[in-house]
Amino acid sequence: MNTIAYFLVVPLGTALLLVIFGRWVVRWAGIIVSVVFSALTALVVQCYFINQLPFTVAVGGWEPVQGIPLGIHWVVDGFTLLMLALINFTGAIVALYSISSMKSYTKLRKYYALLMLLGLGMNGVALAGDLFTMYVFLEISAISSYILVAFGRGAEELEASFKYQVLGGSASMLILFAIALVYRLTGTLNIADASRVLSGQSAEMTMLFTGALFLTGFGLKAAIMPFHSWLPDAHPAAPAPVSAILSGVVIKVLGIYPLCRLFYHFIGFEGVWTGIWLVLGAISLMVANILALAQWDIKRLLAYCSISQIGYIVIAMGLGTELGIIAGLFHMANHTIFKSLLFFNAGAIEHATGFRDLRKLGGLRTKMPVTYATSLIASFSIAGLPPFSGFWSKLLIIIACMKAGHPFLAIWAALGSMLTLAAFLKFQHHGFGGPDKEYQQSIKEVSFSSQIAMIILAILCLGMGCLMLPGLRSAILEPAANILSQGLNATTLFLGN
Amino acid sequence: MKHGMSVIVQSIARLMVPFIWMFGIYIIAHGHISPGGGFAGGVFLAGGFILITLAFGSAPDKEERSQDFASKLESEALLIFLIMASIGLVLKLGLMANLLAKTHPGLPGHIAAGGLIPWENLAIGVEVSAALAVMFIAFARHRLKE
Repeated sequence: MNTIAYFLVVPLGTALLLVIFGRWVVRWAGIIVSVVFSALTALVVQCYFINQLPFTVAVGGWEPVQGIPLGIHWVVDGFTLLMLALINFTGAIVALYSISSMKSYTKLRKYYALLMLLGLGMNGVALAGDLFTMYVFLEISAISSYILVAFGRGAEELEASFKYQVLGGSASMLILFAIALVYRLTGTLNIADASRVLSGQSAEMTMLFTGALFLTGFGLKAAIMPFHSWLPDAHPAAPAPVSAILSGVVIKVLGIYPLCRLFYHFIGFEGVWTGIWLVLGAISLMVANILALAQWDIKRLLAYCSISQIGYIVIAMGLGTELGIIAGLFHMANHTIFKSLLFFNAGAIEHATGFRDLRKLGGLRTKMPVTYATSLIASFSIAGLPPFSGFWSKLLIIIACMKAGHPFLAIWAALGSMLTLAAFLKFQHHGFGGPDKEYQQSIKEVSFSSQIAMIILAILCLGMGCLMLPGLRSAILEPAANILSQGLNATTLFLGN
Repeated sequence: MKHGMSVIVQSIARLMVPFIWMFGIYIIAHGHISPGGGFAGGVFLAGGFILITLAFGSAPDKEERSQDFASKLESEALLIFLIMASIGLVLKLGLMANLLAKTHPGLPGHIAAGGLIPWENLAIGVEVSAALAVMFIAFARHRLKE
């Protein structure tokens, strides 16, 4: 159980060592970071096998007294482990892709140190058992991501980063205000303990207000539709590997994960909340898809598509049924894989040609075969064509909607999927299809390490469908869904008794 | 910023800075038994540094070196804190376990108490003062470029 602390100590230590000794190791920094993240992924796998889930770990040995937690507690359950696996695996792949694609940038040791800090912050958010620790780690990862967005230091990057900072800062303020309200109401910051204290009280109006603050704050971080305006600027402006980790995991770990945690385990899905989640999800899904169709910038198209896929996840999680939760988690995992891959593809195209406007591109399929093949797999996957991973999770979401008595939502989700398909056909047609253009003489495929990163993700796009198989589903998805579907009752498991 | 400010400001700064630094060190050293601690004391230390730089000015070529130095110092102090925090982890007592508190409890309320906490406070104090210095120098260097 002590090994849990390695998820925080190892990334922080690596980041500091990279800053101190970076001058000598900068050539190997990408490999070091990739190896560290891979080791942490292996640690997640080990946690699945060894420990009885869920369990809590008291920091500094401050054990709870009579069931009342005193200090900071790490909470580890199936949901945490799923998020940790996604974070660290994506970190490893992103570092592998960065080795060649970030070569043109300066201050690379700082880039890799920030990547490690981003990983540290997200690991901390996933593990935190109390609200304030969650907030602190949220800020660590948010600030690292602001800097990473501005890493190119051009006008576009700085503007996007500034917008991201302003909106991210207001989100943090709302979250902190909500945390203060919870503390005033319950006298504790531990989520499980606060939930237990609250169960004996009637404070509906305060909880409604707190829930609204949490939904707005974390909704801003997750870029759910009315709060999304920073994302289409920030994600395209960042360097390609950073966009991949931002779109792949950051919006989920900083937005969706705390929302699910709080709404399932603390606020509860009674009253208006289910309706609000479903409406927000439905709006995100459809409007973002329509906006994605209108984009000509590849990375902007992908960014809008991220918002629409977040919409799917929010709908699935908002249903509140066990099938819905499994579908939402499954789509979250799949989206991490194929969206990272698509951003890698976009980065490869930009690296090779120097621009990312679809109107100028075309005919790349012969010149960049690996990028073409992997992007085709990722596009089919995100559009939900069988047998790629996106199909299975979208199918599950649609079935979950039908079973929960929302047939209209199911049709809505299927329509949204068609729009996604249209957007990605546009990407494929204008990017890779069409006649050869004259600029193509000098184009080469990206370097070997980037190709490896893309191929690994493409294989996973095909293979993630296996999570539907009974054995894997009961090992990975069901523990995570179980802990959420138990709702408020699950909190007794976290009180360290 | 090469020439600094007037003689009055410089004389007052010369008088004040030792006291500011001493107060910072006092706050850090008493972090475990009175209000304040590594963060607050570190801010005082950095404040003294900022006052000196504002009063006496600094040469642009020196600033890059001092920024690098402060940046390294910050990371090293944080690394030392991390090592102290993870000793307990290696000995299977959990992250941030306070080892010295059991073997050397000291007198409660006395400055030599609290086990590892005063040492961790010291590391945080150095880290915070170096971090604030880095920020200040970064702004100063940006201004010089204009």
